[in-house]
Amino acid sequence: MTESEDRVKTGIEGLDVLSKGGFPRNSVNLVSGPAGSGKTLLATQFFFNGARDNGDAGLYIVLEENRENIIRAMKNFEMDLDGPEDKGRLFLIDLGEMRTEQDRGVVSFREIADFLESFIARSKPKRLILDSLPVVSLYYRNVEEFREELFTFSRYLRQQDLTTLLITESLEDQYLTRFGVEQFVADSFIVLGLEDVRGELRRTLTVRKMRFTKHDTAKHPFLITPRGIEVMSGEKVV
Amino acid sequence: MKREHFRATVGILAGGHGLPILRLLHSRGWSIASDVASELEIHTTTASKYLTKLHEVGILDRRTRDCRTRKAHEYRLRSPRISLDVDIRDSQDDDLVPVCEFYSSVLFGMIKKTEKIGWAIINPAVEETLSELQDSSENEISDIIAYIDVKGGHASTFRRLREAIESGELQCELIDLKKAFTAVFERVLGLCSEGVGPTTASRIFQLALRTSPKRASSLAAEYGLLDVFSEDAVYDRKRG
Repeated sequence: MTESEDRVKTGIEGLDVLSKGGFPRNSVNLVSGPAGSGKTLLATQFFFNGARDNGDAGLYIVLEENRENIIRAMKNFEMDLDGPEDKGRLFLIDLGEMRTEQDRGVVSFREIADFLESFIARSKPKRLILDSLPVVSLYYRNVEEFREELFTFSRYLRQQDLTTLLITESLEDQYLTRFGVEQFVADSFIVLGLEDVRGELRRTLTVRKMRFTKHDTAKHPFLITPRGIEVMSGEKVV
Repeated sequence: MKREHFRATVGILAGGHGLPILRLLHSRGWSIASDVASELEIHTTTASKYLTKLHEVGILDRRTRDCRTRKAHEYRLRSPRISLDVDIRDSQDDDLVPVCEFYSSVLFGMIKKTEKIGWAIINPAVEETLSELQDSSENEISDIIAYIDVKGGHASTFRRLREAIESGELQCELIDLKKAFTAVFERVLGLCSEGVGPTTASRIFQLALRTSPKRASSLAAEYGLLDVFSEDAVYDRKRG
């Protein structure tokens, strides 16, 4: 496998430069950030660009937002699920629809794996996005159980022909991730930040961890343009 | 099994030559009335009468054989096991419409939920599988399936079934409805399990059950219409 075949491009300007060509193929990756930092946008670009630029089928599992909101948000950034890029390659599945009043959480990792088992066999996605881990965590009694199940789930994902992006959240001024454990299980870890600079919010992106990769570790500013996220890989936030 | 059908079946099996004829056909295979008559030492007319009735109630297969002077019917046993499934309660006719409402609401509740989670091909897939099922089923089942309007949804399907039952256009018993919809749900559950996994499929059905009309749900429990929805049944279909 050549170096470029070994990477899965995100198609996000600047991010592929920082990560030396994208995520390692068949890896489990994590993006974290506070509310409004652009996590879902980054994930939808990874999902959509895969089909547009590489013909990769993609599966986006929504657990928190509803499906219509994601579709509407994508359209705002020139990502049309009914467009020519789709052609049966992009699947946006809203498992949050399974939520009932009786349920402790929406779904467990085992249920998601059971779903994937059937879905992968049928639709053969190459990219998977799970939005988001904190919703799955509601299923578990404590962080230890959540970590254990996340670890098993990640091992399952690595055995598939899939490059996965998991979304989690960070609470401001606390851990980098919601539970402080997710990044230990993932192969790569991208942190999005929102910083108050003289009364204005500045968005930042840092590749904190990426296995098998000599990646850039600096904090970089990024912009949200009409075409989505553009990371300024040549600039650093000091 | 309809009550008249049940009466006819029991009647012919209870007749003195019913079981001996079946045993003979089981060992001989395809036979004509005169073969049966000579083996059992009964009149050919008697053998012929039994064979015709056993064929009419569905226990025997029949084909026509060209003999030298005329055509003759040959018979054979369809299966060495004969099961009789009949519900003896009398008041079922009043419940046919609510039971249709139950089945229709669960079926379309499930299709709608599956579409909502984003598995867009469920609708055409169900349409295709029902069409296959209709072609391959016995008349009693395919007559009922013909009223399921996948595109029109629950409102249209329920209206069509109700009108057909009330006008007498569709003459069926509760057992027929159960058989037909069990076959439908088996197919649809299988489809769903393949597409979204057995756990999600099972949850979709549980959600659809919860939203079905209350009166219909209690009838479903009373008549044991829910067997097809058990989690084990869903897993069995996935494994199958």
